[in-house]
Amino acid sequence: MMIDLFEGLLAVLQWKVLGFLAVGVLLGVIFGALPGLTATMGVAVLTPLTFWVSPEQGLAMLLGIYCGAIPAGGIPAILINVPGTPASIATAWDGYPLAKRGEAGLALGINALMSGLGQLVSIFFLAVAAFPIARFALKFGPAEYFALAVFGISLMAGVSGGRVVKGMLAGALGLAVAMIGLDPITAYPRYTYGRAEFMDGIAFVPVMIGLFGLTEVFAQISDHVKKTEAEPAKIGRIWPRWQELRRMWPAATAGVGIGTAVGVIPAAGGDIGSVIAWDQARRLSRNKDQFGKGSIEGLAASCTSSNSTVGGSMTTMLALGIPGDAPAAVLIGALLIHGIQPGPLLFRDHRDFVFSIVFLMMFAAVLAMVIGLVGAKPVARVIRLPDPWIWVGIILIGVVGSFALSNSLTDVWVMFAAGLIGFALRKADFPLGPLVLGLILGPMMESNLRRALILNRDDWFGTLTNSPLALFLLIAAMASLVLPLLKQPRKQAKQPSPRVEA
Amino acid sequence: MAGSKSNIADQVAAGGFFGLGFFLFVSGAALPDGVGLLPKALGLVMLGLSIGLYLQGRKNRASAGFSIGHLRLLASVTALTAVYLLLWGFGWFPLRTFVYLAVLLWILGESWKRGLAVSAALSSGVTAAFQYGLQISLE
Repeated sequence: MMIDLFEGLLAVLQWKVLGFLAVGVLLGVIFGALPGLTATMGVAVLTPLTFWVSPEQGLAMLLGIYCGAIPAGGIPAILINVPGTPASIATAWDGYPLAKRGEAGLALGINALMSGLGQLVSIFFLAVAAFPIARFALKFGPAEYFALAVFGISLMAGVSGGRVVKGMLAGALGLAVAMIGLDPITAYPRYTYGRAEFMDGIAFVPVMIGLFGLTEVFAQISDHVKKTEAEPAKIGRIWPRWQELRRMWPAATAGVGIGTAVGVIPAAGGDIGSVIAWDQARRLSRNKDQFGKGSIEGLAASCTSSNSTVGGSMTTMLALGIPGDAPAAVLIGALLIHGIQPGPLLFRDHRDFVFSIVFLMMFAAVLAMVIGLVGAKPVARVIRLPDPWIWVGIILIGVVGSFALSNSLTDVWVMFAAGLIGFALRKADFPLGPLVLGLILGPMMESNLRRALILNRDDWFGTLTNSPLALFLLIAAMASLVLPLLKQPRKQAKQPSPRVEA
Repeated sequence: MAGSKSNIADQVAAGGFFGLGFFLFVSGAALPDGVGLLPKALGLVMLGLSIGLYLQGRKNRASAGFSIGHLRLLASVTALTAVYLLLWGFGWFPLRTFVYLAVLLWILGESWKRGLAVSAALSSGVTAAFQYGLQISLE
């Protein structure tokens, strides 16, 4: 184990790998700081840029984008009350009032420090917890993997904020798209219509770029909301005082715990984690009335929690192959393109590589924290870039990136179609997360179901009930879909529930 | 008003998914055993869910509204992008891209001067990065 750890560290300590990591963090910070551009979009749109470098360098850049974008989402949330990413929704609740009070610097400092703390602790959790989880998952057979895939998709549909039926339909659409190509067991061509480029299935990355890049641009163009004119906020001191740190400590601890736990749950991301942690910190605090009015405890809880989901979701993704949130879902696709298959076998055969991922994420978290502390002012200027410049930039990188994947115009058309379909679905209030999960987990689900049926001589009942774990996961999947449906009428009568946006 | 709009969106979506579900079920039945298993099962699930969505849309009139917003602007952007993709391979990539971006920025309300400058910077930057940096042909 120690040899793997040192080998993993040595693989990371190369100037090219660290250079790509730094570029990734910087790009992630820019994507996170620009309202409307998310970590998911950053990973999706910039994935093609990593195909021409080694897997370590490509992975360094992608992890840098992921780890850089989440804390940077707090910068516009604090300065202009517009969350840069969905994960920083709760950051705006106390960060913006602090900025209005003339303490924008302190809010930005707390955001950087607490985000870094949240990420580092949750990455440590990843390093400790992922190995036993993966060891346990090595005992899984086809029936368990099928049930796990069903559970992952159902959970994301179930937490789609009162849109369970729409979430399930989106997941089913993802599964339908994943069916295109050669059958995983018999290699019989399915829905390819004789086109050679569809034999390997629909390319995943163009679909991601379309769904998260083009869809967002189309939605912003159609809404055409003028950017909030940010008042020149007085930055002031950045470093919190010792007493302030002591005051934030309980809220930050709660934030780390809640965020990591939420991140481990498939499909639940930083937006859910930060809202839960903010609410729990308010309940625990002696200064409840300060929450929502510029409480440093509320800010600490939301920042630590939204960033702790990063390590939590990576734990599930790496150990089980089930993405913990939307950026992790896109990251899985990018890893597959680089020839890296997340799952328990990665922990058995390439432990050094897992440690490399852990070290890369730790370095990225520290770098994002440093940029957040010293570079908040220049980053704040990026927020003021005109929208049309960003839109055309995203469209161009999406088009060229999709084309460059395999020098095929078909991939560009796939990206364009995915953008239009994603826009239509989004406008009709469909969540896109389950669609992505269906697309990723579809092949895993189908091939394992078919294998399990072959092993059980087409005995459906035996296939689904012989394994207690598979049965438990399938029952949990059913419950995650049915329970929200039963609660929905009551919930809608009261208020709309939080939504998981990708 | 929002309720009726929402209903239309849900009903259109339900119709679309019903059609897709029907197609998957019928086409799955025509596939060999095993290969057609998932298409058939998925088709049935989609048929059921689309009926559920239709009924839910009729019942729930208070869900989020459907608003296309600046439809003409969006249609112009998508049409221009489609033309740009159809013309892929004709002419020199940086020049074609420069013209596309300049027109796109103008449609989006950017001034000609700034639009031309941004288009030149973006098209030359992308060409330099992909064609000369990563050695990927964009023609």
